[in-house]
Amino acid sequence: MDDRKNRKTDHESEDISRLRGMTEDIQIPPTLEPKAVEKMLTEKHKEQRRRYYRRYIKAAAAACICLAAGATAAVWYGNSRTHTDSTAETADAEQGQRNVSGQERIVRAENYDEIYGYIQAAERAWKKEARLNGSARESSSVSDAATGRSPSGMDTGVVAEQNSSAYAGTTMGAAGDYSDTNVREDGVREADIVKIDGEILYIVNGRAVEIVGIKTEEMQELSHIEVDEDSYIEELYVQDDRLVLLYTKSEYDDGTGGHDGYFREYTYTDTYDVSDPSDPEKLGSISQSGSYDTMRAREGYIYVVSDFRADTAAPRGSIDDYIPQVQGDVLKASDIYMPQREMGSQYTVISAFSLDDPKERTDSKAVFGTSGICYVSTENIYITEEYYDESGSDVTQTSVRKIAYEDGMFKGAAQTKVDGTLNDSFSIDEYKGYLRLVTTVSSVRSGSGGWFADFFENTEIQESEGSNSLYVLDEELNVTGEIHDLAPDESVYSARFMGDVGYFVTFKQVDPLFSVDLSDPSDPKVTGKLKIPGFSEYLHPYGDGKLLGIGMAVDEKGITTEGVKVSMFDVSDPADVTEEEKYVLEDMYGTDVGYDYKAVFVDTEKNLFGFLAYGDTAKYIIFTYDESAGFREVFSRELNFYGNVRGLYAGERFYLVSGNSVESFDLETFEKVDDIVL
Amino acid sequence: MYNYENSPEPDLIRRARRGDVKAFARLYSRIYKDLYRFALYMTRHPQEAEDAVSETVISAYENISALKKEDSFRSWIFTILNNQCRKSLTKGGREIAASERMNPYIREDEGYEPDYAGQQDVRRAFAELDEEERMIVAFSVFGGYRSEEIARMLGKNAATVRSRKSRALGKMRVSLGGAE
Repeated sequence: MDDRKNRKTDHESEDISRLRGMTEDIQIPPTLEPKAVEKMLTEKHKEQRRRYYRRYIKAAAAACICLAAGATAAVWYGNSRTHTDSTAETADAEQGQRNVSGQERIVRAENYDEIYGYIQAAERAWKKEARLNGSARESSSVSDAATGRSPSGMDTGVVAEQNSSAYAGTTMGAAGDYSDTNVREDGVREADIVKIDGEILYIVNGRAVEIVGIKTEEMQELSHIEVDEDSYIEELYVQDDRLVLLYTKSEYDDGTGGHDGYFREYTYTDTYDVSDPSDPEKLGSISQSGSYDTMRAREGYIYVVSDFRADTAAPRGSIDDYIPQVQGDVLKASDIYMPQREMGSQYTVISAFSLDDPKERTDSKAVFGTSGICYVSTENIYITEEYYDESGSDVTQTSVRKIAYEDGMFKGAAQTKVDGTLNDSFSIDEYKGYLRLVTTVSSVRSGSGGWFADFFENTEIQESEGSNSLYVLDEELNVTGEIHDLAPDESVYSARFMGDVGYFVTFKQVDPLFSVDLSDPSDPKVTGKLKIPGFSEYLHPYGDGKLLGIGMAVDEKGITTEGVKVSMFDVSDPADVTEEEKYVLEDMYGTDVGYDYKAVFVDTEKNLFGFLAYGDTAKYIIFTYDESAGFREVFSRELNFYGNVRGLYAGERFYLVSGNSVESFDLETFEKVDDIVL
Repeated sequence: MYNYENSPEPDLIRRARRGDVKAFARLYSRIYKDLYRFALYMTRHPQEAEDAVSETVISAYENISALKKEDSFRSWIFTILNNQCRKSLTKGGREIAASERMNPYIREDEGYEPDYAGQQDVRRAFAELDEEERMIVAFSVFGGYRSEEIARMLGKNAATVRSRKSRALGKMRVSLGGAE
């Protein structure tokens, strides 16, 4: 872009750091010091617990009635303590046909009224919880934060969801000599904030996409595409001269439906022909309700996932407020899959189209309930929900709904519930038709000692992490094999399934890296347990018999973290895993790799991997690995940038993209070649 | 004993969601100075700022279950704080005596010389902005947000925020004088 704009941006960031500098010395009132705040909250916590106890006695009778009426989730602590089989739900008895011999078929909505009933149940449960929590939730700023909607039109939910597409992923062998986004599943491509092909860089920059030519050493801005006002580009995807822009647009609803006006969000997917990168041509656009979550591409089709929050206060007649739309049409009830409990307030909306015809959707469905981790294998989309308060279970649970996809069409396949919750999308994995999950199981009121603790006014906070479980499910999601009570009191920090072997890391004091033999789906076995200090937040297969771990170093007692740590595990014998090498970045206290696998650059063939680490400053570091020499930093660059940074390569050059600036380096020597500010 | 000091954020959030006060306090300790500065320049009054931050902390603690594990604690709590500050601004613009205004607490470390003049200058510069400009600048300076992120939080379009920010910083540059 032109010099004038560059200078302006530089000026502004200077202004901002100057203002920061000038205000650095402002003294903070003693009551706001962390110690004082901790004390204040501890007092409040105790008081709240006393209140729970008093209310419990009064509410107990009412709670029993609620149980009988089926609105069980509305009961905050009146849980029945008996643990029932994950598939046996009271609702199923009434829906006899829907329940096929133990395993459950996925359930379509009968009509909008049925959905409306579930939303009201969610609203009742929420209100009840708010009452039990004291009046705080009713004060406007608090409920704004909790519901993501505020009378002033500020959508806090949007902020809270900005990073919600953060899973973790596999390396894709690059087609041509350039890198591709680190993805979750081999064979399923994903969008990101930066994409590269041999000659072009595509960069998300706020409301615009910058298209930069990199054929020559000197980078060149070729064109840029801007989206409408009130839109925010989330990610982009490039394949075969097609550029796909994924953005969320807020549209103001003035409240003609008889309630307060608010912003409604839509996810738009615009497809451009970029065969002439200096003159992109728009081919079509698909819209769907909700904010953008994630996207997948497979065999010429694009699958877009968004999260739509129903307006739980909507009157029954305002269907638009609580049923999602695609291309302006309200979805049919039969295209909506119902949750495994009788309440819901959010939808995961999925729609598909062909890159050959980006004007028309091929299919769309909505998965109703709450939105959770979404995992996409080469054939199925799994939508999960976390249940923290399900009656009939005294532990946390995960609902899994499986939707098969092929050539732009969806088909509801199966659903089930397992105990425990998933750490991220690497904790759920499909292989040869079997679904494997590793979960951390916690008791429903862990951390607060259960209601009887309140009864005795026991204010000691119990730290109960529960334990971990592993499940193997068949195509219908029936359990074929399971292991329980792994690493009691620890929780899963990272996981990676690699064919017949699964690895996962739990942590409390030391980092046991578990190896599980999954070759017999009916008899999964823990075969190895490597204990080393620290933990890995991200695991990545690194060539033959090697597994790379990125995480934190912690001293032997598990007390102090000593910096960011990279480990290379020798997994050639899964029963006898060893930590072959490690490397600690002592002045760094964290990375993003645990939340966002796309932030990791890995190319095992080039033997390079890189990521951004935080210390007093942010640093992008690239490593190479050698069995005898261990890890070696080949590149390190300090960045004055908060936010997403990507490292990519094409041909002989490496590109570091942070915000609106791009720097290029020689891929061999890592000497700087060029830079450009967009 | 669990090490709160150096734990990664997702882990602290996980703990805080289960009611762990220490984990919450640790998350808070990483950003409380920015929270207070933000509130101070937004409300222009130390007592109001203190109240806004303390209300925010209570709201955040009670509602941390609404924060998803992978979400950023920082942007979430800043959004709550912004709502609090706006609430206190609209409460009826309570009259504040000049002497009471912007008299931040004095840092008492020995041999330490805070840049009071600088703070006063910044205060004056902030005073020349309207509420929205103040918000945009405060989010940029104390929250570390980009215009696009601010736009999302305020439900405005990013181009508007960018140009308002640029105008606001321009004004401040003039009132702070060109040089350091």
